Order: sequence, then structure tokens, then C-alpha cells
Amino acid sequence: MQNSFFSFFKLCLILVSIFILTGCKGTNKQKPPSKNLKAIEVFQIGNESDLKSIVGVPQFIKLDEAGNIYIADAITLENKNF
Amino acid sequence: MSIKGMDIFNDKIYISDTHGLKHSILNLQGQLLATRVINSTYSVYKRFAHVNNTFFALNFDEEKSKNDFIFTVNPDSLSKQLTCLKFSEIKHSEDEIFSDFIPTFPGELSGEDGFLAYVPQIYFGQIYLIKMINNKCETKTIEGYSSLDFPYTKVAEGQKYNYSAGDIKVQIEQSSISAFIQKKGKELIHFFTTNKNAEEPLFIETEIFSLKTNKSIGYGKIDELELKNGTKIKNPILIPKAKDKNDLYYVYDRTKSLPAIRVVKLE
Repeated sequence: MQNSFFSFFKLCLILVSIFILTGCKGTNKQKPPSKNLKAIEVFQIGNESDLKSIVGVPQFIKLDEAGNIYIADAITLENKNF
Repeated sequence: MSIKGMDIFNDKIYISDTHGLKHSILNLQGQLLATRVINSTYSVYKRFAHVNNTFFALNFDEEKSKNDFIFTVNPDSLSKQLTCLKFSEIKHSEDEIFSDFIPTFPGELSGEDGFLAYVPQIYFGQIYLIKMINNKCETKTIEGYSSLDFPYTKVAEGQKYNYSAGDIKVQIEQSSISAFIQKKGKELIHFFTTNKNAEEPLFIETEIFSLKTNKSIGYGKIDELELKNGTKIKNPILIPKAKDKNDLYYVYDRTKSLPAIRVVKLE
């Protein structure tokens, strides 16, 4: 009776160890520390209505080495350079 | 013209055009310097990016060599040089929907401070980081936090969907937007969305990794936009498109019906 209790206890211990080492640890499902971000506007490029008529949906915004900004939409006949 | 890829490298603008079947090189005034005509839409590069003096392109050429996925190119001839990431090295590359969507929705490439970061648009939770060491590519995979077991659902005829490629319609539930190297090469920040159905409001989620350990150090969302006039907007829809050397982000603000491009700092 005592032997079967200890066998059962050992089995439980092994199962708990496997759970801790595999399922509980997980891989990429372990949630990292929570950190929400706040966006603070530094400036706006163009005004909203201008932008809608000029570029539509901007597909690419790129900067050159001097910091000039280049905006291109997905379907356009020419590149827009602000 | 349909601009599929664009980058500015060594004072030249590089553009790939999938409709016009060409790669074009312009000067910063917009004058055309050179055009390379491509004979197949499969061979048109889908993205360009650079790190220091190395120019990279991304393509998924199903006809010729789909394994040359991210590679270095000669900036004059735009010919392929060194393959840095093969398509088969991407986790889930054997997933049929994933490979069907890659040519149209490849995801974004961005380079800074010695690193090139790539995240496929259908986001299974992997971010690929390429570093050039002694003219060789060293590629690492960073495991991100993917809250969903699977990032897309196939949609039946008549149901709402957010992406299609040919006849295939899917709701992409976890979609990468862009990733950037920040804090002078110390961190990587990834922007993505989790959207289980088309009716749900869209949140811009973020995950930040230490590039020293390649481990996540923060996960959350952009929960507020403070405009210059002091107005505060909760849960803004800001799509980060570029970043400058001072870690200012150039975002396409889709929060209101009239879009705007804002330059913001994140804190």
C-alpha cells in the first residue's frame, strides 16, 4: 500500500517536472513585460486636405542623408518631394 | 507606374515598378538616371534597403530562383551578389497561403546601425536580422510574441476579408507593419496589428527587443497620440513608415477620415 502510494507520488512528481520544463515554459508564447507607448507629435507634414489630394495613401516615406523627406504612393506617375 | 519598392541610397532614389516591369534610378531632384527593363513581374525586386555601404533587395522569383529571397545587389547594375536569407530559411515558408501572399505582401525591410531587419507581413512571430560581417551575411531569427496560434484564416465566398491574392481571400489576423533599429543599434522595435475580424477596432501593437540579448524587453500598443496643440487622442492608428537618426518616427495617421503624415517621438 505504502509502495504504491510512493510510486504514485513519484509519477506525479515526474509529470509536474515535465509540465514545468515544457508546457509551462512555452516558447514564443511567454508574454513579455507590458509597455504601452505614447506618440508625441513633433510636427506634421503638409495639411490633411493637401495631403489627401497630393499623395493619397503614402506607400513609402524615405529620408535622404540630409534629412529631406520623400513620399511616394503605391500608384503614381511621379514622385512627390516635399 | 506601380511603386513596389523604394529606397534612397548614395543620393539616388531606387524604385521598382511591377506594372512597368522596370527598376529605375533617379537623382534627388527626380530626374531619371537609369532604367533596367525586367522581362517578368516575378523578377521585379519587391523591396530595397541599405545598411552602411551595402545595398539589399528582396524578391521572391517563383520562375527562376525563389531561394534568393534577401540578397545584396550591385547599386549600379542592380545585379544579385550575395544571398543573405533564402526563402526556405523562413519559418512557415512551406505554408501555401504564406508563399502565395509573399510576392504581393512581402513585409518590410529596414536597415540602420549595421543591421537589416525583415519581418514577413503575415506575422507568425519571427523577425529576421541580418548583419554583414567581413562581407558575409550573418542571419539571426528573433522570436517575437505572437498572441495568436495562427496569423490568418481562409475566408469563404461572401465573407469579409482584409487581403486577397488572386482567388484566395483571407483575413490576416496578425500583420506586421514595419520594424526599425533604434537607440543607436541597441534595440529593435516592431510594429504590428492583431485583428481577428474586420469589425474589430485596429490597434497598433509594439514589441521591443534588446539587440544585445535578442530577447523581448517590452510589449504593448501605441495607446495615445498627443498633438502639438495639446489635443490627446486615445488609441490612434499610426502606421510607422520611416525613422530618422534621432529616433523620430514618420507615421501615416489613419485615425481620422482625413489622413495625415506626422513626425512623432515615442515614449
